[in-house]
Amino acid sequence: MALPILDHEHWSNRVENALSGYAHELLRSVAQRLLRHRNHWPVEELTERIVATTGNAASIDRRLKELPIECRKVLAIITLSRKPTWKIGHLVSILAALGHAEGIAPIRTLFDEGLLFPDRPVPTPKLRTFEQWLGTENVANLSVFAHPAVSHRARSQDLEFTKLPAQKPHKNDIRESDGLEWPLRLALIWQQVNETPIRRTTSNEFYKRDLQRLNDDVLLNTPFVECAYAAPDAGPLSVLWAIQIGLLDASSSELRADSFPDIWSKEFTQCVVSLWQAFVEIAGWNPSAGLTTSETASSAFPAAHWLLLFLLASQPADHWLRVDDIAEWLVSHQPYWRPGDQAEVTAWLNVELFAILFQLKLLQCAPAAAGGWHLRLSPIGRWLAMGNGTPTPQPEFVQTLLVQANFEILVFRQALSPSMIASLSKFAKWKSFGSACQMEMIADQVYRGLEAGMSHDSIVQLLQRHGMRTLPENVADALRTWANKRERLIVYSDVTLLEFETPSELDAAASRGLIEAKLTDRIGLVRNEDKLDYRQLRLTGTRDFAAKPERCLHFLDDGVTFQVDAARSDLLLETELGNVAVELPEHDRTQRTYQLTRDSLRLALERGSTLATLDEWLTLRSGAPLSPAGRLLAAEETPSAFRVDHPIVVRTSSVEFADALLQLTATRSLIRERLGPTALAVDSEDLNSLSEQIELLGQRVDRNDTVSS
Amino acid sequence: MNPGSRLPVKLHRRVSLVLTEDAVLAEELLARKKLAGDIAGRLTDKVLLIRPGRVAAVIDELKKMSHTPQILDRTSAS
Repeated sequence: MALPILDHEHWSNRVENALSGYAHELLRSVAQRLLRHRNHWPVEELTERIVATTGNAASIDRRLKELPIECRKVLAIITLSRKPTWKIGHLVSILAALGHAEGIAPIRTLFDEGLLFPDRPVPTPKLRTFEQWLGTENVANLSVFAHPAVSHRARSQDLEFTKLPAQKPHKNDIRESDGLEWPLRLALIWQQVNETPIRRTTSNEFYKRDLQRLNDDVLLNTPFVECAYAAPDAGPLSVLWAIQIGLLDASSSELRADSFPDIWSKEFTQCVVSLWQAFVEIAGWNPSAGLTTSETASSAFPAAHWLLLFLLASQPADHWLRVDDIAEWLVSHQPYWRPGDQAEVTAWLNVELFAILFQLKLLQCAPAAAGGWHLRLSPIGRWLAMGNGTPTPQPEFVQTLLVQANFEILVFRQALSPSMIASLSKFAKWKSFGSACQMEMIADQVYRGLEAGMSHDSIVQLLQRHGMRTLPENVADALRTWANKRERLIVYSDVTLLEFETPSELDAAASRGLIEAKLTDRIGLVRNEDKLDYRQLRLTGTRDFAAKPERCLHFLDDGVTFQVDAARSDLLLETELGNVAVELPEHDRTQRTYQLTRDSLRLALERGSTLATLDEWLTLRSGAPLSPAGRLLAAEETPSAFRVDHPIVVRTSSVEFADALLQLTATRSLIRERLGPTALAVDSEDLNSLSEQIELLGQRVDRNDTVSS
Repeated sequence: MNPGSRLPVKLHRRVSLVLTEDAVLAEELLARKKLAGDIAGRLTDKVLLIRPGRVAAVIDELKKMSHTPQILDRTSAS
């Protein structure tokens, strides 16, 4: 399995972006060296041609041949690490260890040749010279990148490491781990953070209580099954590693469990590559001091991790090495350490080699005659470091779980894989790590698994497929009960509801697959509006649920019948209407019509509404309070609310005459009440007196036959 | 209705709601004072509308009541 070339198009775009940050003169100079052209091409074409040349193996090979060896080594380091972006300080540090003390000169040459680029997310201001960028800040912290297609051409460049003395193991007892110790711990920390989030300070340090919890956690700090060298601060390291690999979301001060990245479901070797690449990028922990501040850790160790791996890979595959020989080489070559640091280097090497590399299955060990271990890279380690050879595929066993009636699962390591660790971690809690691990299924963890996207069926399938015995009945029943319980309540957050005008239209939408669920006879639900097929819909309006309610009810003359303005109505109205009114389905087919009835209004009052709240709601929705007709419908039954009698009505020929009768002292007391502009009610016993007074005014009263004097 | 015709529809965006298995469960939720305060209205006997910005509080309260709600949002849509 050769080294794969990373996403070509992505890195071509990165090169194009970097070139857009070059001033024209600089771009022409770089193009001249890379393309060796004689024509005067426009700037845009130069950029295109430089990008195109990255994919031209013959041209790149010619340019590489002309370069000093240290430049080719820079590109070899980049390609062997499978990491196109590097900090200048780390590259220079490795070069120095390889005997090239030219500082940043090789980097500068590769810039000039168009084979390496400054990593500037925003390509402004335009660079006139590379010194302009190199002089802006601490040069060691600046990042550079090479197009993988370019660095790939330097993959066979020998880094020219010294050969270390070969050792002979005391006995032929070769040890190689299964590579699962760290995946198990990362899955455990994912579970723990899922249950109780961990907080960090603004400078990304752990709070004392969380740190205590991580350091005291028995399971996180369980000794490894093979070669039990402990990693200092293994708990915090697991957290930092989980962040680096994308298992924990560190975008806020509170760390949260993210979903398992895709890499967990890929081949074991791919997962190991990702774990190693994430490990070397960890800032805030190193094998020598354990947890430390980010600033002190970031400078030496990423380079030292890679240097160690390349050193081991440069040795013959069957040579066993002593830790002391490796330490001696590092002390004498790596500029970060001085001659007296050998003990310190040996200490971090023991952790790095046995607690990290060995536990990732990158290293093999064999007992040394004088005690301790000899070591060499495993096939996977050589493949990771050199990109050649084919790692032996992991043996495939299927049955590896024993599910017990007490809800415990015994997990045998032989067939365990990162993919299975990820799946099991979602619904069962890790209880112990060892050559056989123990897990436990409890309701809360199963719910988390269901929340993480697993289903009852997928859990049962996994347990049955990998189970060594039939799933106990009580366990199957409990899983079904837990899954059913979860089906009882669904919270939809931030979704879109589709309100149709008629139930038949909702049915039509459902049959066309436009909605996910029906909520009412006219309203359906979709979770993601972006996936709606608008070609099948005609939008009559949109409403934001959080927006303020609008006036959307129009009352007819009877004061109790009203129509809904569909364009301005909102979802809350749907919940409110049923509480106070009844729909008149046949009233107007084009507009939804409701009516306040005595029953609907009395029911609303019985359920806790008052006339005041009805007035408030109607004022909000229609602009006017409850109409007199509505008020009458809502009124309680009151004795003598209505009275029947026989008043005599005196009608005047004009409004003024009626006003006059109500104004004059002689007539005013004889009138009971005014019924209208020209109608006055008079008691029968006062009729004659009133008639006399009117006649005294020189007018005449006409009586119809039914009114007697 | 023409099978290929475009259906007139009104969209209600940014809605959060609780869908219960039955009406009794919805009643049970509404009887919880803290939860009722976060419910804007009852769309049907099984659908409760959540006030804007109160989804997290509703989920927390449901969990306190020992419920295990499925939480679905636009990102979980297939």
